[in-house]
Amino acid sequence: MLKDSPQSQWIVDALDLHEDALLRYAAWVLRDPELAREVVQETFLRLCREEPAKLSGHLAPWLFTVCRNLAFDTRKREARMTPLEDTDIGVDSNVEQKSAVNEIFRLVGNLPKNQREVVYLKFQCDLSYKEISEVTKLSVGNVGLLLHTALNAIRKRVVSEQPARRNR
Amino acid sequence: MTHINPDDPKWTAYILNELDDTERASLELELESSEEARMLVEELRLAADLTKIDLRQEVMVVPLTAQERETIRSSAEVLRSRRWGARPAVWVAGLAAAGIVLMVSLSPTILRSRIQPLGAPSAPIVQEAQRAEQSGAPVVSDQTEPKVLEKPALEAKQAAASARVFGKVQDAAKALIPGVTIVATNTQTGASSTTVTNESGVYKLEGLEPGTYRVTGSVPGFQTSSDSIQVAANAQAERDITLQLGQMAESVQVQVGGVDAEKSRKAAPVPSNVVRPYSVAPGIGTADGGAAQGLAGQIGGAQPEIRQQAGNIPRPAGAPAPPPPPAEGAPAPPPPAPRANLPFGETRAPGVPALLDRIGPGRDNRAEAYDAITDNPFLAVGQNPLSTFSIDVDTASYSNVRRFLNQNQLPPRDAVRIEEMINYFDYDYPQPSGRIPVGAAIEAAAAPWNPQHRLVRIGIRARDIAAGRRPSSNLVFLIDVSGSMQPAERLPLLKNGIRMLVEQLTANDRVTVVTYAGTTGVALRSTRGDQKDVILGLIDSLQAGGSTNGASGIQLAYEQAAASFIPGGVNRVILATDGDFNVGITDRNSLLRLIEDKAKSGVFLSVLGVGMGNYKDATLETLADKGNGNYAYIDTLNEARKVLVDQMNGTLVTVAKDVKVQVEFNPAVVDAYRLIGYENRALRNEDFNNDLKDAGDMGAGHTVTVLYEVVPRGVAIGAGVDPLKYQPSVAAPPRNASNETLTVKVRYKEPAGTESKLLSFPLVDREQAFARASADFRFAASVASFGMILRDSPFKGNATMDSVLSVGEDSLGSDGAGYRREFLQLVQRARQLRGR
Repeated sequence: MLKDSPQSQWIVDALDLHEDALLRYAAWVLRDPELAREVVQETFLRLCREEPAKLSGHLAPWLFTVCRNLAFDTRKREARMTPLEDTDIGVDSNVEQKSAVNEIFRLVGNLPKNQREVVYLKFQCDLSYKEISEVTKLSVGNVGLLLHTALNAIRKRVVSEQPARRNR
Repeated sequence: MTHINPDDPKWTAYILNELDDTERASLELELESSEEARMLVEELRLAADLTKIDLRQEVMVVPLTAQERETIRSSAEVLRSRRWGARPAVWVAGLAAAGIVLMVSLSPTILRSRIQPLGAPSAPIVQEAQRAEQSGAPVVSDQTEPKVLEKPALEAKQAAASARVFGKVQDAAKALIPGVTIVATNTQTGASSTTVTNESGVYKLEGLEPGTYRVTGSVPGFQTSSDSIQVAANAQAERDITLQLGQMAESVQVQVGGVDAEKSRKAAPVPSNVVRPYSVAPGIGTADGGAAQGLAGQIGGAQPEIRQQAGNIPRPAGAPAPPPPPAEGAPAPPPPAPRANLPFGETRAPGVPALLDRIGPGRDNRAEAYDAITDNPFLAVGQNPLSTFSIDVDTASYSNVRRFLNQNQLPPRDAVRIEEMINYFDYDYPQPSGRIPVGAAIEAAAAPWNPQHRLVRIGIRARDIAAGRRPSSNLVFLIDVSGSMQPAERLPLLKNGIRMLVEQLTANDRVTVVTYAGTTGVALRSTRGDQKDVILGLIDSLQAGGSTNGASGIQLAYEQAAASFIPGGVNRVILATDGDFNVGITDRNSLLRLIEDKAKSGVFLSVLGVGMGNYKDATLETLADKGNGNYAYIDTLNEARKVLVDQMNGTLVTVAKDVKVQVEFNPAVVDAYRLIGYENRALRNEDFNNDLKDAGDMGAGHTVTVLYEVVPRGVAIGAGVDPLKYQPSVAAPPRNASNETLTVKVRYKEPAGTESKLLSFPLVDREQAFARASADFRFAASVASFGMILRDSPFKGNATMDSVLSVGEDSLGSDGAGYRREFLQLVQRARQLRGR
């Protein structure tokens, strides 16, 4: 086996830690697991060019920021090529079919775009307010407000659904 | 009541842990005073949980392949070597990496086709890689290859030995499995190479000679898989492996030798992800079975000689044994990878101190606590015609003894509870008939350690519940997530065990998870058993940290169980801990009072003990007893499966409660008797008919085995009892003398009942020789002998490790699960440790 140098070990660790979350995030933005893989590979290839010391403590937001930018670029390009597709991020064209099975998903999908993304970065990628703020360039306070507004809306929906479920 | 503002973002910030201390404190004050606020926070938590889960289900993800990851990794090396210029060591490393790039580029279009569509941003990297590839390639082949290989023994083969096999190992649910021992055995030369999957379940084997390999993956708890793959010189092959949860039934057929050539040929050219389930020795594919697995798998190099063994073992049973190394001084087969695999994730080179310090034998055992046991003495029938005790279905002592022996230590004598050792094994007693939930099968034969004495076995069996007929279950997992639970054999092992149990649940069941450390909380509100993603997602996310306050956790768990109580169903708190309640109520008695009190609410308790070192056996056993429950010690994933899957009904469904046994001996036939084990289960004779007196419970399908050593009339007792001065027993047998040796009376209550029912079973001893007794009888006797030897009991007679072994080997029965064979391994180990 190859002896891992600190640099490549750093990359391998970063892959182990964040690959899955980044893939999910990119797949969510792009609605395409294959494109997501390309974006995530590219994200890590860019990470190879960075100094570990410089990113210490900011690795997750850095990766999500790069991944996000690449994903949005890719999306724009794909959208130009296939103009007919619904290009709203995080929303599948067959969302209506899915929603029958999945109430919450429709709710997340119907949230305003800015809320949807912070919800995603929080609940799927498990970033902190501060990290989300770094990725989205929103203020921490704004992130908190968006998240609460979104979660409160979901809460109301869940509570109105829940009694029926509970009694079953 | 003051009104709260639900639109304030602080509520969400609170549940997401984003408030600073002051904000949090003031919000918690508000929570205390306002029901509305508490509701809001609960609902937000629910919304957050559901959101999390639904988002996770929503996106499909295809993980990067090992090749793609390797490309990224080597790219780091290339770029680094360029940045750092001429430092020789770095330069060599860079070229080595360039060699990898070369290999990758041989396989069509992986790198470029993936990266190119992104256009401009990626172009520089690809070019850099290509440049490095062009300039580096010629050098790689003749200079840097030795650096590529980790195993010096292979250097002589460097020209040819450059094939690689890699991939990931996952279970049927696509969860990646770390710590899997992967062995690739060359089917022509028999040379084998070993590695262990990393934290992400990824393995790679490098420096292989080209040829056809049998690749096996084995880890305790899963069936060993085996597959053939062909690799050409300088090429690499990717092979993912799927492991099925182990059925140990197929375990002991060790396949030796022959390669299935046809299989190899078929499988080789087309890499296929299909793997065939393969035979496996108990737990893992080691040639010598379960005990060795314990050594290799559990302690991971805790002692030098063990490490040695761990290194030699990982060749799975399915792999052909390598022939002796070729003559003419050719390189020996590669040394085993210098790693020991620990269950679940921790792979560590030997010599890495952290883990060894934690579990090194002889270090931490000081902190373990056992209650002292004095062996039951012989009692004269004239003075004590009745023997009364509560049944004990626990098996924890056996797993614990196994752990010691697997660590190359003899267990402390008070850790050996003979009845729990005997009850660890399944015995084939007849099912009770009709509506009676328990039955008894009694057998007598000569005692193997003292042939003049008789050994009487009382086998009590509780009714089985047919698969699929398990009543609805309301399970509250109370999980210790304190810092002491961090090691792989504690929380991570428990998580895997609980995961297996959750897989069995249905929509009729409910699961709640309460975690406790310094603070206590409901991690998962009562959730339907079929919402496996929710439950498993939560279980996965548990992490250890902080100190332990067992008491407040137990309170909360019982409250939760009461809140989602299923009338007529199974209501059970499952406490999973290393028992180190180091904060709050550490006074054992107040803790017991609490548990006893809670047991009256109709909620039963199971205790799953894990861990080594500060494992508090005495506390845990008593908790389970007082809480109307059972107690198991979980040391391996196999054990977790035995307790939580194979015996799930027994662990969860109580069919008879407060089961007491009273044996009346006939003075006309018996002079004296001795109850083997059950020392801490003795009851006063008058308590047998006292329904207020608590006793042990039996779960569906549980068996309980009781052994009495009986001294027939006229035979010397040996040690112990003086002749009776005033009793007429010796001279004049009672007039209405019966030829019955004894009568067994069993009292039990229905699970929800308060009045006990009485069963009675007489025994007439037919003077059976020991050798003619049933296999179950002989095996139980052999376990009892082993226990007495370990306890150095004054009553062990002429029992020796050798006699235990020879009786045990003769009485394996069908032993479908391989537990009895494992027992023999333990006896052998104990024999070695005693220096015989």
